[in-house]
Amino acid sequence: MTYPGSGGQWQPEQQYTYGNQPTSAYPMYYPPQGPPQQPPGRGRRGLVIGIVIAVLVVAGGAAATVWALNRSTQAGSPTPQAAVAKLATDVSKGDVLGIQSDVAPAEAAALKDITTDGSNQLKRLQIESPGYDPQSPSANTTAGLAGSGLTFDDGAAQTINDHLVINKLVSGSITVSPKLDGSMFTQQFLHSAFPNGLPKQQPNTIDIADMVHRTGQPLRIATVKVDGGWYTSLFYTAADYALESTRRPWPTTSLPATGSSSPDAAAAQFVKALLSADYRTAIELTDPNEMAVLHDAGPAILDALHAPKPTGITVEDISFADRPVTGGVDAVLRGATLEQGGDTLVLSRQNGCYAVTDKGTGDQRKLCAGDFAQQAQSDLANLPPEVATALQHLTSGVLSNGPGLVSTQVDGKWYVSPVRSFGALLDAMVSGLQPADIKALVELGGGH
Amino acid sequence: MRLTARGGPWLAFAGLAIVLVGTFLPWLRSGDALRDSYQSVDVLRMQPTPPGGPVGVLLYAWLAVIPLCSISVALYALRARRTAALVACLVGVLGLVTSALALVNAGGPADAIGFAATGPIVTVCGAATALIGGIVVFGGRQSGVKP
Repeated sequence: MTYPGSGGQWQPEQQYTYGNQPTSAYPMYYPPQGPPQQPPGRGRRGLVIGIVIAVLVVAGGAAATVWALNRSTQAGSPTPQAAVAKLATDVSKGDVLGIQSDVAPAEAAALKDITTDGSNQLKRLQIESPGYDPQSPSANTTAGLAGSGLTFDDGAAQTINDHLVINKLVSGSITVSPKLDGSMFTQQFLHSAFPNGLPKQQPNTIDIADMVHRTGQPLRIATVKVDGGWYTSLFYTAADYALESTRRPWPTTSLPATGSSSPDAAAAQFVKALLSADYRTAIELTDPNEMAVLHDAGPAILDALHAPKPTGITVEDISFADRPVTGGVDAVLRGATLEQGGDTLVLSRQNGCYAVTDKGTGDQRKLCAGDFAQQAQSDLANLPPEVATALQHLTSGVLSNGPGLVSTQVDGKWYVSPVRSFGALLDAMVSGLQPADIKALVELGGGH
Repeated sequence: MRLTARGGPWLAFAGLAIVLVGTFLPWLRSGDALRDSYQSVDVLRMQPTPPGGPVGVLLYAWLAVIPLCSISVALYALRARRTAALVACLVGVLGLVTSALALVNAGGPADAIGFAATGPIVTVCGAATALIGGIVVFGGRQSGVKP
């Protein structure tokens, strides 16, 4: 047989005859094996049509995939007005996930990390239900959120610089409906906190127009530009209100970010800067993404502080023990040599206690978890022993973990994260508590 | 048998089409806002602790649903029928597993955030149809029956 080329048919090379059968003038063909053959033209046309269909389908699939994936919830909005409009829509729909994506990514990540760590501690303390995950889309939330008629005055928006715009919310309402039930909290905790049954949960409605009327100015909400997209910023909004209350404008220049080579170096420089009242260096050492607001508002903060007095304490030597935490590294204070007024004090960490030794006199003072509880018991005569134990556990959490500063890495440099450091401190405090302590503290707070 | 084998490709294509429609229906509910499967995957992947292990792999694999559907159709058009059927089966399995996970974790109507049922249910139906269609095409060829 010979191969006829693309689209052709297999042709016989010779004629087959049986016995003495006379050969015919016409060649004898056996029926072809396999699928019925198509005429050459039809087969080629079919193949071309198949290729065209295949190309169109694959191109369509690629286009549809790009379109589907480009509708990212984290891309930010094209303008500040669009960002606040999206926020208004998400609040109106009670879209918690949408609201999370409206917040500046670095801020949202820091707050989410702290929430996740806190949630784990609450589960350990049997306050939060074991199956509850605050970040899971299948989770129930503690409160219902709904908005209505939220309106921003776009004309009154205040452009501070190319990456910060203050928007003015002038009308509408926001309703928060608290939800205290077993989906988030354990029955044990709810029973301790509300022994006479859960309180009637009334929705709380905030009338924006009424608030604007009372305060004489619209609600200010800051939007920031991050990687080309506009987001609502909680930190910038808070800073804007702080500047507004002190009648200071947003600075026209920002403080640069000056990172360190390691988490320990960043923490050491930060401590030294705070003790010497060098707040400019302290701000420059903070995370330029999470704490961009500190860098932008930095000159105004320094101006408000006037000429701060140094503590008079100088750090001769300081050492840390690194502990990985969510989103960064916690540099926990291990020891330090401090100098004040000619006296040299050596701070060291021993068995969950901190010891301070005066190098000159040799005097040593120890600070342990029990000391706080004893002090509290002597100050408060009627303090129940269970509460004293809870206080001891609370302080032992800090002392056994040790106070630290959380650093984050940005572009290869390490910066201090005040928000994460505060979260780590809270986490350390709570880590010493036991489930029985919660019952004692709730009872102390008037739960029973 | 011959009729069933010939219906296999149509069954598979109908299943793939239903899967595609299902992926764009609501999968996630947050307040009154609904998100399709791709937006839901995006939200899950953006969590500070995104799901790992098999669920994490599924989230990445889900992004290949549309390309896999189009590749299956393209392969069939190029007469690579068994490979096309195999890809359709792959989409079927992926759709069944992902939809089942979403349906198992679907929240109640009172929950502020939860998986919605519409998208996963439609996708389950499409995935099952595509899987059956793919198996029929594959089985038909294996047993010598030409689709």
